[in-house]
Amino acid sequence: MIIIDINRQLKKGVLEIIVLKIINESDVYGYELIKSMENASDGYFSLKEGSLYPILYRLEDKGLIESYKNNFEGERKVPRKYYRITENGKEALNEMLKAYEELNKHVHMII
Amino acid sequence: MKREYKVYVNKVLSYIPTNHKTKKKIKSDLLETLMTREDEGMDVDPYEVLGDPREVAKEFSENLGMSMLNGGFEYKSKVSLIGVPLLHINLGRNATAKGIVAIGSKSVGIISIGGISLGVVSLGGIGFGVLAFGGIAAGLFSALGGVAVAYELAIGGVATAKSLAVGGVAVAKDIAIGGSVSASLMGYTQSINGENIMQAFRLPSEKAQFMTEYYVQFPDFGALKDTIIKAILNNGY
Repeated sequence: MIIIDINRQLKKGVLEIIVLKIINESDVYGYELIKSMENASDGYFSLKEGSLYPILYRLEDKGLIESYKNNFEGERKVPRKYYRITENGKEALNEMLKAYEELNKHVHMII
Repeated sequence: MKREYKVYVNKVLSYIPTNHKTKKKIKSDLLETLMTREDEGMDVDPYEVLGDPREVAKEFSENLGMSMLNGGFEYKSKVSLIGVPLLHINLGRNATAKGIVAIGSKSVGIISIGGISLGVVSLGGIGFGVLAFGGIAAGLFSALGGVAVAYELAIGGVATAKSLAVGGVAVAKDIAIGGSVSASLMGYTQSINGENIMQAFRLPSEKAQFMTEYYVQFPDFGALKDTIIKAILNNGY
């Protein structure tokens, strides 16, 4: 139980950075983002919709990402919602990565 | 878009205690998730793909910074006064809300609304307060309810007060007005309890005599109670 809690807290702490990093590489839609995280981490970051979308809403509210609709060429009539990073988001991501490196370095000094 | 997707998503939304704007976003995103799976040629059953609607809603709620347990809902305002939140809503089973304004299954606050409520102004199935309203209401000053008990003023099906009781059954030390009454001064439509028949007046026929006796016995009864008595006699009886 304690292990599960720590795992969850550690993951939670870096999720915003990871999401922002992936969106920084290319515009993505929600499900694609879930798959990207899952594939890139060998299944370690396997997020459910209820965890991912609130992160996206927070990042959007902070102005770090923005969404837009893109018509999907196919049978589907509903356009797909993509997320892209903003200039503020790029700056914030750099700051976050620096903070993460700093944290990582100091944690390694102790552990 | 399949109707079952909308039904499923609406079910999820019904469990998420958030504003309309966020619900709209969640709806659009969940529908899109389902349709994306469908685009991949999968036979999509929302329950299999996303899971039990309550679990999905719970995860959204937790990550949106809300608490939603056992179908309940909790919200605490960030603004507080001497450590007490301005608004606390706690609707879980046996949950207690404590705030300046408290709304909950059980509630304690200045303004308290709940199944069982305690407050300055209290509204509840069972309400205790300075001013209490409820199925059963006990008020320090006044109570209004099915059963109302108060020091100054009680109005209800069964009402009892020290000062003024009005109701189907009204019992007071000073004045009782209603169907069946007991008090020092009584205005009744059906019956009186006790032997003080000289101070009992059948309404509406003896309204004038009741008022004359009222002015003699209680010349300083208080503006609010005075207004209530006049309003009741002029409109109710």
